[in-house]
Amino acid sequence: MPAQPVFSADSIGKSFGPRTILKAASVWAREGQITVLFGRNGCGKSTLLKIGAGLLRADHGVVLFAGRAYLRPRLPELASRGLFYLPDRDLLSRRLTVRAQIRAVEWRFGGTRSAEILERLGIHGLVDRTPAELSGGERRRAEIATAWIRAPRCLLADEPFAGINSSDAEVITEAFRCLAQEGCAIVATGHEVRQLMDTADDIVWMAAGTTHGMGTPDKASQHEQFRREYLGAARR
Amino acid sequence: MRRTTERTHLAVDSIGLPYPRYLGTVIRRSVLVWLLVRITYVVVLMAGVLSFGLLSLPEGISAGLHPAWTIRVFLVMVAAFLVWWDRRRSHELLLHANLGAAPGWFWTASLLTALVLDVAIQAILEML
Repeated sequence: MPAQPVFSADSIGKSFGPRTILKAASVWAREGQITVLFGRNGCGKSTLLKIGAGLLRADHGVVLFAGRAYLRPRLPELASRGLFYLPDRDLLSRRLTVRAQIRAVEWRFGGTRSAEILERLGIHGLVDRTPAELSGGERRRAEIATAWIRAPRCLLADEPFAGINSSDAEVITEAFRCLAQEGCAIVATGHEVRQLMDTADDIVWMAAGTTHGMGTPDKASQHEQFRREYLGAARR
Repeated sequence: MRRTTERTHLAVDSIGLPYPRYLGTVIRRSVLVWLLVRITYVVVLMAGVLSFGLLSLPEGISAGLHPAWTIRVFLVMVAAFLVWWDRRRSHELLLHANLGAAPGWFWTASLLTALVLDVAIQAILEML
């Protein structure tokens, strides 16, 4: 019997004007596990994560986090209870140095591991630069470091592997595994099928405004419709 | 002792306290932006006076130095909006939301800073 989710966005519906993006979509994250949300471009993965993080208001549905139900969640409230939302880009301010932004996280949530985490992510020598002075991969690693230093109960990561090279992706995968080992519940989205399937403990597939729990990556890759309509040649 | 510490943390969480150094940065920017907005108002007003002759020059100078309270409120709001827009443009909203800081802190800081400057500078100008 799997553990109860720490986080779940349940039966979420969302329309933008006449266009319905989400009909009844759900995603969840369990302690120490990495849930990967797959789906085609524009199917509503980012919208679902933003609703889960309290950045967008759902038309219907409920967000459950750390034992509380929220009809209208707001990120500051969820964040103070342990949620961290990592957007597909620009988590960090372009103007302030990475060090200044990490200090803000340490001030708010404490933490004495920043030196170790920065070292593990290979950005300890870059902290006095602003994110605008970093490459895409370095910036992504700095963002992941910020999330890791916060030590969240739940991390919602929108396309963490988008636009970065394979060596950066390996470092980030390792960081996610470490975070999960420390008990963090992670939801990640993306299109990097091999990378994400190898990282995931649980797969959720989004299609036509709704979601399907696919189970473990092995189970998911045996699912005929999922293989045919999403994985294609990537997982044969 | 532990219960007191937990209560303090709960209080900090419930009011969404912002990182003080960053709040200082927002206040410094608010000072700068309010000054720019006020100077721009005077420059635009004087340009209007000189170009279109809407007011005489002494009336234009008087209106520039002693704007009506509605205009002063408008300039304060514009300054606060520009500070927010600048924060948004440089991607400074999300990290602080992730830190649990209520956005109201930054709006209030910008508005109050502009308001205090407006009242103080206007009081000085009235004395001249």
